[in-house]
Amino acid sequence: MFGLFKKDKNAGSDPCLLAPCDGKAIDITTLPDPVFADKILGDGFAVNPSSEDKCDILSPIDGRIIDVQDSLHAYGIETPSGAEILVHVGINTVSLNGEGFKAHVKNGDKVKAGQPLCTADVALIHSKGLAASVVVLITNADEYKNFSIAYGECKGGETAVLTAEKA
Amino acid sequence: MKTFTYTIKDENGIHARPAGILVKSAAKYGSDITIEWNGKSASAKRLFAVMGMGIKQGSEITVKISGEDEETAAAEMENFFKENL
Repeated sequence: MFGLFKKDKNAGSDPCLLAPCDGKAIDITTLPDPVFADKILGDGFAVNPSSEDKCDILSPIDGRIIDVQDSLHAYGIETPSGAEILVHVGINTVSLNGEGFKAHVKNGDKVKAGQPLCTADVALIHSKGLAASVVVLITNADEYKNFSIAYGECKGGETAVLTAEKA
Repeated sequence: MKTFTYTIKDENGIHARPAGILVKSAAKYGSDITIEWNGKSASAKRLFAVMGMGIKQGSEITVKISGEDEETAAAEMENFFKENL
C-alpha cells in the first residue's frame, strides 16, 4: 500500500523469473499448505521437479542472497530493482532440519539467474512423505501487477515462468 | 512506545510460514513494529528481515511497537505470538 511513495532507482526493470529446475510449473493455489495457497508469503508459482534423485535448485533471477534459512530449504534473493524473491524447496521441509539439502550460496552472495542455490535430495524429501514442490514467490507482491505465469513443462534456468510489472 | 517480551515455543523457530503470517499481521498496523533478539533488530513488516534473524525455539525476543495505534497493535501482536509461535 506504500508502494506509490517508494522511490526506486532501478524502476523499470520488471522481474522475470526462470524455472528453478526441470519439471512442471503449477498454480500455487493448489499446494497443500495454506501459507502458499492463500499467498500469505507472496505470489508466484511452484515447480514439481521431474528429478527423482538429487536436483540442483537454480536461482530464478539475478540478485543478491538476503536470507539462507538454517535448514537450507529456503532462500531469499533481492533483485537490483527491489523485488524480493523467496525460493522455498518442498512443503514443510523445515522439519528436515537441513537433511537432504546442500547449500551452494550464503548470505550476501551475488547470484546469476540459473546459478545453483542448493542441491535438494528429492528422493529423500519424498521418502519422508513430503512434497518436493519448489515454490518461487515475489514476497513484496503488492508492489507488482500484471502477473503472467506459464504453467506446464519447464526447463530449469531456461524457461521464463513468471513475468510481472512494477505497480 | 509499547514493549513486550515473548519466548518462542514453535520447535522450528520463526521459519517461513510463521514469518509470513507475522508480516501479514504486522502490516495491518500503522505503528512501527520491531523485533529485537540477540543484538539484532528487524522490522516485523519485512519478511526477509524477520526470517533472517534466525530466531529459534526458546529464544526470548523483545517486540517494540511505536505509533498511533500502538495500544491495539501491542495487545494484538502479543496474542498473535502466543497463538502462533
